[in-house]
This record gives sequence, C-alpha cells and structure tokens, in this order.
Amino acid sequence: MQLEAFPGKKRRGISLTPLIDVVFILLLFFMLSSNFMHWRQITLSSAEQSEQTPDKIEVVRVESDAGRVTHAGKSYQLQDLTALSALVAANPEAVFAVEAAPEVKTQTLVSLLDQLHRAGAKKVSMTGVLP
Amino acid sequence: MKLVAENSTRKDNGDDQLIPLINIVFLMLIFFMVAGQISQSDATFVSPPESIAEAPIDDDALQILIDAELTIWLNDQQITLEELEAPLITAFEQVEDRESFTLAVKADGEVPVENLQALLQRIKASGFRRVTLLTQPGEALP
Repeated sequence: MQLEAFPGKKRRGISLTPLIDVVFILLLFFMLSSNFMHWRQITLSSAEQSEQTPDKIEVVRVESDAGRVTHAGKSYQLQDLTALSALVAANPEAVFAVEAAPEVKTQTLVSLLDQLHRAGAKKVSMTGVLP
Repeated sequence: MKLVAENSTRKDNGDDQLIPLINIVFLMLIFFMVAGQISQSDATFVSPPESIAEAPIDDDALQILIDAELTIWLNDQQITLEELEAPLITAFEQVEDRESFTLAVKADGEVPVENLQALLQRIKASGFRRVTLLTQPGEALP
C-alpha cells in the first residue's frame, strides 16, 4: 500500500481569480457612483421674510472680484472684517441688501454674504430677490 | 500528464503573488463603500461657491442648475430662461406639501451675479418664495 507522506501539500486552495474579478467590479462601481461633495444651502428668500416690510435697507454693493465693496459712498474691502463689523454695528437691525456690479462672480457675492453674517448682520438679502 | 502538473504548480504561485493586490483592492473597496455616498449625478458639472453656511440641504427640493457656460438645467434637461415657468408650475402642482415647496439653485461659482439674478427673478415671477442657493463648505476669509 502506498501512503502519501504529505497529504496537505497536494490539496490546492480555491482559485482567487473569480474573487478578484468580482471585487474589482464592486470597486469600479463604488468608485464611479460615490459622491464626496457635501452640499450646504443659503436661504435667499422665504415666505416669512417676504410678508414683513423691512424697516431700513442698507445697500452694500460688490464692485469687483478682488473684493472692493461700497456702501453709502464709502469703500470697504471684503477681507477687512473689522471695518465691516463697524458698518453692521452702526445699524444692526437693518436689512443688508447685497447687490453686485456687472461681471462679478457668484463666489464673490456669497463671500460677501458670509462676511456680513460673520460681522453680525442678522438680515442679509440679495437685491432683486428682496420683497 | 507531467506537463499539466508543472503548469498547475506555476498557476498556484501566480495566485499567491496576487494576495497583496487583493488586500489593497479590498481596502479601497471598503473606503469607497464607507466614505462615499451614492447619489444621482448632475446633468452637468457645477463647481458651487464656497461658503461658511452650515444649513444642510433639503433633499426634496427641486433643483435648478446653472453651469459656468450659463446653461440652465431642470430635471436633467436643458432649458431656456423663458421656458422655465411652465415646468416649475407643473412641478408645484404635483407636490402634496405646497407650503414647504423649495427650489434649490445649484449655481457655479463662476456664474456672473447678473445671470444668477435674472434666474432668481424669473423664479420669483413664477410665484415661488422659498429659494435657496446651494454651496459647499469652505474656509472663511481671514
């Protein structure tokens, strides 16, 4: 009778190729369909806001993408939060209506809305969307 | 046959060398499964403006896209500013909860404000009050 000296050595494992195929397909699916963007939103106008008439409107105008902002004849810089805070502190209850010169990009306008919020303005609005 | 036996040994060795590859592929697979979220892709590429706004988006909102080439998209279809009103009103009539019907504008950060305002005014002229602008989180200005 012939005995096998090392029976375990002859046993072959499962072939890994089909597993790799499936895993690759899964990987491709998840890579192509995954979305890593986190969206946030800014409310531009809502029903509650449009029903009440604002007391005082302060128009703030973006002049250029470099960040030049004007209000009542005075010029400000978008990056200068201290000056903008002083502007807001002078009239904290007013509605700050933001308008833009032609060719100013949406990004600059959104940055100004952000800066006004950081400066403490409670009500910020876009002109044209204003009630 | 002897020849076949030799071939099969070589194949086994080939599989063994694939194990590090499989490890990496598995790690990538787990990363994409856990970190990414599967959602319907937009009709066009839009690079939204960055903002410090923290409000999460309203998933039920009807989305209007305007890309850097100033093309307007509604429900994956290209549309002009003049044609926008009719499909918006149709969508509004189909929803049950009309009070909370929101329109989300997904505008590219490069879009000139005047074009965005023209779109917003058109939406407002159609009678919609709840309008939001979608952004992505970004660094605050210094």
